[in-house]
Parts: sequence; C-alpha cells; structure tokens
Amino acid sequence: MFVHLHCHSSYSFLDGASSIESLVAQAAMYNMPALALTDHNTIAGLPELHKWAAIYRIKPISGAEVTMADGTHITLLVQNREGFRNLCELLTIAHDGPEKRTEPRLSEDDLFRLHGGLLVLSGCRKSFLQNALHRRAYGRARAWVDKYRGVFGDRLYLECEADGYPQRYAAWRLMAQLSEETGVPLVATSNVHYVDKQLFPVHDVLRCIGLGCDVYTPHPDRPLNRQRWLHDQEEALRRFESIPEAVSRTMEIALRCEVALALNETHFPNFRTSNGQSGADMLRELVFQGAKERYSDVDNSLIARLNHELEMICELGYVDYFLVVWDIVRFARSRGIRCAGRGSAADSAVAYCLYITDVDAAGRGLLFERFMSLERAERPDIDIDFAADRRDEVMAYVYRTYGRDKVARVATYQTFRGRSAVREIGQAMALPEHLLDSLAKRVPWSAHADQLDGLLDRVPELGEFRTHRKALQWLFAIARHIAGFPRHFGMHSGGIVISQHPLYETTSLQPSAKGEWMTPYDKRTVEDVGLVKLDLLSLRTMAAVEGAIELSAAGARGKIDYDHLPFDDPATFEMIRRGETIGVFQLESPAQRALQSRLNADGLEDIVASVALIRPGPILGNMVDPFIARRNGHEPIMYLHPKLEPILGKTYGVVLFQEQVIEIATAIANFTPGEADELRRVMSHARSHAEMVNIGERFMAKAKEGGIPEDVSKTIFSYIQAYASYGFCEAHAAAFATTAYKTAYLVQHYPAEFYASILNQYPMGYYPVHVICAEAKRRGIRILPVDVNESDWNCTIPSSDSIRLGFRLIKRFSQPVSEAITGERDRRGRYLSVADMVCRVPHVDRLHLEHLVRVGAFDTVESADRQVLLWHLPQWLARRDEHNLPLLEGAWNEAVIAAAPPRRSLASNPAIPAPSTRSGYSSMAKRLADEYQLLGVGVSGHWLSLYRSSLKSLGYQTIQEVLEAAEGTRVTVAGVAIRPHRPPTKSGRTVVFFTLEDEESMLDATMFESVYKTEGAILFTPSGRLLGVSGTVQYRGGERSQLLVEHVWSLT
Amino acid sequence: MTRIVQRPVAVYRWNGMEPEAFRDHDTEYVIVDVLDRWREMGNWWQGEGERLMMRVWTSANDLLDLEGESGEWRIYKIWD
Repeated sequence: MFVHLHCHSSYSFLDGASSIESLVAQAAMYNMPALALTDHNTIAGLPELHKWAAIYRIKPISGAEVTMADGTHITLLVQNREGFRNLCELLTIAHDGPEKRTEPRLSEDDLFRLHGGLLVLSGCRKSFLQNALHRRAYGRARAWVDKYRGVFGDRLYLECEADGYPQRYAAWRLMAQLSEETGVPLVATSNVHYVDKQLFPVHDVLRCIGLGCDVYTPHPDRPLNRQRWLHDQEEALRRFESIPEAVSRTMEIALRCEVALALNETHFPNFRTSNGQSGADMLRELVFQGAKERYSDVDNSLIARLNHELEMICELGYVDYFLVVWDIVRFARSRGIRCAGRGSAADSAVAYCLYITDVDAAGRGLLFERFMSLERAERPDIDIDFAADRRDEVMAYVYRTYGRDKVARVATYQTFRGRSAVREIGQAMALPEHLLDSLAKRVPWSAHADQLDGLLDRVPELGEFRTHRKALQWLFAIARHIAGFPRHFGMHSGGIVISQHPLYETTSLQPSAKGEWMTPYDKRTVEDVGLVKLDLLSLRTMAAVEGAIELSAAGARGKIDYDHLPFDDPATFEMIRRGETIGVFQLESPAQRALQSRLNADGLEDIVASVALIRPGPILGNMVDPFIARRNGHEPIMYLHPKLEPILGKTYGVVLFQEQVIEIATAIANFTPGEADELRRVMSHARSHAEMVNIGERFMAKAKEGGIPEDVSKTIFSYIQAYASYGFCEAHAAAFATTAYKTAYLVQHYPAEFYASILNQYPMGYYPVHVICAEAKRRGIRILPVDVNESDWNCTIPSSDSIRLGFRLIKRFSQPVSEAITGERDRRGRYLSVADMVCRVPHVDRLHLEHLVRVGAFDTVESADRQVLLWHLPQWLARRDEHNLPLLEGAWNEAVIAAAPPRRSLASNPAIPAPSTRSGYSSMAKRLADEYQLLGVGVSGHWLSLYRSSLKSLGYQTIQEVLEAAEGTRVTVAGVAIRPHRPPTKSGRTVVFFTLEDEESMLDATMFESVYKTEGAILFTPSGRLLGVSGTVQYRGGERSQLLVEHVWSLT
Repeated sequence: MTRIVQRPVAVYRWNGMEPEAFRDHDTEYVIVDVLDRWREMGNWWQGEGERLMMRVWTSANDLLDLEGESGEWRIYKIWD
C-alpha cells in the first residue's frame, strides 16, 4: 500500500496547482488510506485537509515542508499532538523577523529543540542531503544523517523522490548506501504538486508567476517535467521498482502518525470574574443591570425574553464569549471610542443590554434564533464597528488583557480575480503587454477568473478582444483552473481570535506587514479548529462622526450630542426624502438616493427597510417597486395566508428580512427554530439544487400537516426561495439604519463639520473627493483650497459655511512634513513665498514642494505662475544645499533657528532672482489636471466650466436645467461620469447606473442594455470620463429627476 | 564543450521502449551504458509533450544525450 507523504496544495502559493479537496478526492479514489499535506512553510490548509479527509474517509496527516536557515528544504510530518504543537511553534519561529516574514527560515537549533512528536523525511531535491549527494559530498551527507539520527532516532527517513529529474537513480543508490550504513530507512515520495499530469501547465505558469519570468525563460526553479502528480499505487511500484521497501514504508509512516488536529473543539477563554462569581451569574447581573438602564420599564415579557436568551447562551457555552465582548466594549466606551455592534448579534436583547449593540431587539421583536439556537450549526458571530482611527487601542487592550500568546489576528486570502488573472497569467505566457493592459482594464472589476472566456461575448467593451481568442486560450484555460486559489495572504480587516490555551496548541503564527501576529487560518478555518472569532472592525464612518463632533466643539452651536440625537427630526427626514444623501452612511449610492426620493421615509423603520431593499435579493426578486407602492398606499397589502400578517405586517406583506424567512417557516410549516435556520442557511449560501429541493419538500410536507393548502405553501416557499439567496438580516439593517439616520442628521444640521470630517477619513464611502466637495458646495459651503498659511494636516472649518482643505488630501504628502510646515508657521509666522518655505522647513523636499505648488497652495503668496515656480524649484533647492540652509534633516536645531534673522528668505538674497511674474504658462486645463490628479478635486474650477460656452453653443444643457425639466423632456447634457456600475437585475439583462457631474450639480443616469451594447461600453474605458449624453428626464414617482440614457458619446 | 544538434536517428535495436542501437547518417552506434535518464517537458503551450532523455556512452566512445518522444528518437546533444 502506498501513501503520498509529500504533497503540496494551492496553499503552497504559486507552487501547488490543485485544491485540497481534489487531492483528497483523488487519494480516496485510489483507495489510499491516508494523505499528508506538506505545504511550504504553512499549515494553512490543514483544517481543510481534515475536513475533506473526514468526508472522503481517509486519514489526514499534518505536515509542512520547511525552509531551513541555509535555504534547504526538509519535510516534517506530525506524529502526535506534541508534534503538532512543535510544528506550530517552529513555523512561528521561522516567520519571526523582518526579512523572514515573507521568506521564512528555520534554524537547525530550533528544530532540534522542538523535535518531539515530529517525523523527518530528509526532503526533496532542495534538501541538504540531496544537495550533498548531487555534489558527490558523501561525507557531508553521512554527517547530516548521523546528526539528525542523533536527535530524531527512528523518526528520521531518507526521502527518495521519483520525479524523473536527472541524477535521480544515482542519488537513490547513494541513499541506499547511506541507509545500509546508518540503518535509517528509505521512504518513497512523489513530491506532489497537482492532482493530474494534465495540470502541469497550470503548475508551470504558477511557478513562472512566482519567479517573475515567462514560459520562454529557462529557470532552475521551474518544473522540468509533469511527474509530480498524485499517482496511484501501481505507478508508485513502477517508479520505485528497485526499492519496493520504500513504498511499503509509506504505510508504516502513515500508521505512526495520529490525527493531530482536532476539529470542532472550543478553545474560547474562561472569563475571569471577580469574587469567585460564576460567569453565568455575572452575565445575568450585567444584563439586568443594563436592562434597567436601557429601558424605562423592565416588564415581564422583557424579563422572559432575557431569561430565554440567557438560558440559551449558557446551554450553548457562550457565557464567556459574551463576557469577553462586553469587556471589550466596556473598555472602548470608557475611553470614548465610538463603537456599535452589527450583524445578527443585534437580534439579541442580551447584547443590547450589555451595550454591545444599539438595536433594541426586544422592542423590535427581532428573532434571537437568527443569532443563536440549539440547532443552529454555525457559531454565533459578533461584529463590532469601532472608530477607524482608534480601533488599534481596542486591539492593544485585547492583547494586554488576554495575553499575547493567546490572541491573534485572523488571516484572509485574496484569490485570483479576473483582472489579476489576466495580468499575471498573461505575463507568464509572454503575451504582449499592451494587449494585457487594455484587456485587464476592461474586465469588470467583479469578474471571476473562471468567467473570462465568456465575458468576451457578453461584455461589449471586451468585444474587440474576440479576435485574440486564440492567443488568449491558454490564459483563459489556466485562469479557469486557478480561480479561487489563494494568491495573496493578508490580515483580515477585523477578525481576531482569543484562545484559552496558548495558540501553538492549534495554530502557527506569522506577522502581518503591520507587525501584528496572525494565524494562517482564515475566518472559516479558525472556527473549524475551535477558535472563536470576534470581528473588531474599523469603520471610517465612526471616525468621521467622532471628527465631526470634535470640529463642532469649536463652533457657535457647541459640541454635537451625538448619543442623544432626536430620531424624529423633520428636517432630516425631509432631506432624506429629497434623496440628498451623499455622505450619509449606507444611503448615498444612486440607487439608495433614487429609492429615498420615492419612499417618503418618515421614520426609522423606513430607513431599516431602505438598507435591506437595495440589495441583490430584493432587486432580483422585484420587491422594490411593490414595497414602495404598498408603503405609499398605492397598492393594497395582501397576505397569502393569515398567518403571514403578523410576520410581514411591518414590511407591507413583502419578505424583506432573513428573520422573516425563519418565522414563516415556523408559522407555516411548523419548523423548529433550528430547522428554520437550516432553511435560511441552505438558501443564503446558495448550496446544491438537491439540498434546496430536499428542504422544500420538507417545508411542503410539514405545511400540509399543519393544514396549509399545498398551492399556498408552494407559493410561499417560492417567495422565500426567490428572495433568500441574498437575504438581509433585519438586526443588521436596524444597526446600520441607526447610524444612517444619525449621519443624515449630521449632514442636515452640521454639513461643514461632517463633510470636512469625511474628507479627513478619505478614502471612505461611495464617492470620490470631488463629489463630496461638490455636494458640500451645493449646500452653500465654500471649499477653500489648500494654502500653506491656512491649512493644517486635516481639513478644517474656518467658519460654519466653509471647509479649508488640508494637506492630507495631497497625494503622497506625509504627515511629518505637514507638521513641520505648520509648526514652523506657528513659531515664526506666515510663509512669504516658496523660497521662504524652502529655507525655513528642512523636511520639505522637492516632491512635497512640487505638489504644493501644483495644487495652488502658494497662490495667495506668489504672484508668479505655478509653472514658473516649478521651474525655479531646483534652483532654490540647490541654493539651500549650497548655503547649508537649512541644517541637515534630523538635526534641526531650535537654538540656531531662533538665532537666525527673522524670516530668513532665500528669495531676499540678491544672488537669487525672484521668479518672473509673467503668467499664462499654466492654462486652466493644466491647473485642473494637476488639482484633480493630486488633490482629487478642482479648486480652480470644474472641467465643464472650461467648455461651457462651447457646449452651450452646441445645444448642451446644464445639469441644473435638466434637474428642473419636466418628466419626459428630451435633453442633451455633458458631465464627468462617476462610478458607472452594473448591478445584478432580475431579468439578467445589463443595466448601467452612473452619475454625471458638471460645475453646478449632479444627475443620476440609467442606461439599458440596448444602449450599453451599442454605445455605452465607453463608460468602462479610459475615454468614458467626460461624456455627452442625451436622453429623457424621468421622475418615477419621486421628487428627484433622473436621466434615461438614449445615446452616449465621449467628449475627450 | 557540447553541441546541441537535435538530429533524428534511426533506431534499429530496442531495449523495451528505449534504443539499444541506432544509426545517425552512415554511422552506427551501440549503446554500451546508460548513465542517466530523466524526463523533460517541451513547449506545452505549442502542443509539445514530455520527452524521455538518456545520457549514453556508445561503442564509439561518444557521450550523447538522446531525446525520445512518441517512439521517435533524436540526438539532442553531443558531448565533445
């Protein structure tokens, strides 16, 4: 019997061309009793190996191929739990160090120190042993074997590879000799890198990507042949005909290895309570104390609900989980760090009473079972948003409190997407750069790597590439295969695990680029190995809110009392009804703004519904229009069965939330809460058709038992089926809606503060900087340019109707330089010229100065043209160096500066000519180009203002004129296209939405497939930035006009 | 010194699937020792497959690398 003991999966990053499932499936198909996974320097794939091995009923053997300090490889297999722990620690050590983060290296000393429970196979061609044998250094090889045998004893094996490489048989002969002399047995491996030999091209291309070469370039690290596939026993016996004992030894090793990674255990820490109180008692006390604070009246129904939730939490063993989250939130609140729970946790009244969420689950009648139930297979997941700029303080608290050895961040794997596949595979295939560049730029952002071939026919802007189909065939074929393979390893934005035991028991660790330690497991696999994940997310909206509060403190109206904003402010709802919600959390997209202008929102419930409505599910299910019609009384509200009325009443008979799916299943088909949650999961995870049919049959059968007519139950099931594939959780919508309303309130009442704060958090939200500025201007706020004598790092509000742009918006501007500029200005007064700044601020280099000039930051102190100033810059900088002014960077000496003549200026030196004041070198177009490129907004004007007179003479209307036009008016308008996108539609046809911006206003536009296919593809090409559009004005029953596009053309 | 020649040869005696003696132009070669065997992939993107490579000593005391694919054999390299 043969077992593969050296096997790489796609987790070997660019050196493994098969998924773990396919490897396990093939091993099972060949009736192999076990399979080892030995990816390069990682155990990331082990949970998946264990999961698939359990399904295919083979034994998973944990391992890794580790790179030693001298660059040689060694294969380690885990014999038992001790070995697993040691492997985890060894891999962590191997990654510990700045240069080892991306190129891990393990010292022999560490390996020998942590050798327990590990089996060693001497390794592949890149091992020390084989290197020595290939170099005819038999003595060194023998010394290596003796040394390792001394440490590992009978846990050392000499690895014979049958990979069809040169010198293979010579190496075997020497290894056999070594084996005979030392008694260390031989073992056969095939160093598997893919399931089937047909996948050799995929492996070769992945290696080319990894090595930065193309297929025409010979490289010693590219695979030489296609022998490294997961072959069967017969092939093994053929390959190792001369050493059959090495084949049978694989089985012996497989039997020595225990299944070392236990799935489905829980390692969440025990929360340390004070006074010996039990966790459950403490939780109960905290919850009822919070209930008293949160509710004016704690009535019996609330008590019953809290007791029910607490019982469930205790029974499922999540007391400590809740206490830990409570503790983290308590810390954040005590430090004034704004936070709010989101997701299904908001279904819990306990979470509300612990201040984890701000959604009154009991008051809203939210279903706790959506979050947690006895029958629910998934672990509950609590996600908390923290102000982005202070989230790290919370992380630091978690590390401090629960121990650095027990806390780690969760990893995330970016997979090959359409665009990256085109670029990377195309380069490896040596396809022309211009072809790849233009193709990659036009592939839709969301396209998967396995969709590329079909896109050429479906996406009009890719049509011209059909003629290249033959040249692209390998690219498409390989992309199809590697779609979903991990490509980049990174840190999850907020995922964190806290363990009861040191993390080495379950995972290795490696540092992120930021220096935080993370497990190699992603958010799914951490749960598989029993680690409970918390999502401590950083939300820029929270930071923007905090920033607005701070900015308001200096204003005449005083500090915003954000925690006590009225939820019934008429002016805020009026603004929302007009769809003027740019900058408002969750309500700013064109679709949301169009919805708001039709929905007539007058309460928080409408906003909760809005958040859930503009999602693929309700859009695909064609629920938006019926919802609006029923909400506004234009259509009667009907229920298929009276039992649905209490469930769907608040959404006018429309299924909008996942909680409703669960309640319907319970009411109509008498599903238990767990069964109902299973129904939700089957639907929301778009699993197999068979699974869907199965649960549908169960639904119908149980509904029939309950006396529901079959046709009614069938229709109800089809409704929830159509909807639930993208369903939205009501608790999550309610959590978001609360923040949405509050930010709308800020936009309405504190626009300068809030928009300035949004700019300070950029990038955030849906729109680019120039749109935020345009919206602020529309609200009467003046946007003041960056000015060396007025600006700070952040955008500021000199008055309630103006925003001064900050240095932070300038591309590649650094905060230390900004602080040096403002510090010197505070100490010694305003800058008189560019040369003055050159002289006074040592930190400001040529790049910073150029950018300051190009965005007009010197316009108020320099009469010279910007271009003239740029011409003079090198001269001033050279003089600064010659005169040794200023002092060397880093040796800035306050005493010397103080002793220097006031406002010493190079410009006042007669040896340095002042710049010519002749103007006209920088055209308006050049200035705008610079400002848009470096600042993201044109402060000197707008692109359209340059061409307005010509456009007017050609019959183009302004957007303001279009906004005031009557329904059905045909118009021609010009503008900058913003965020063209193609969301899914019920019909499957493509509809393009985008916004047009001119110097005064913005207009949302819709383009149907016929126009998109004939003319509209330019929107997704570089020439689609500045557009001419003709079409018809529509209101669709709302207050805000939109444009239905009939023709579109480029104005560039 | 080596020379890459990639010249087809006529195998007239076989040892299983491998050549034992072959003719190159008018010269006949008998393989007296196979020093090494390995496999090499061709330009797969141009439809080429995997080849068996053999480094052999011949009766004429030549050291040659032979290349075989689908029953066709070539002298790939001559070692001077």
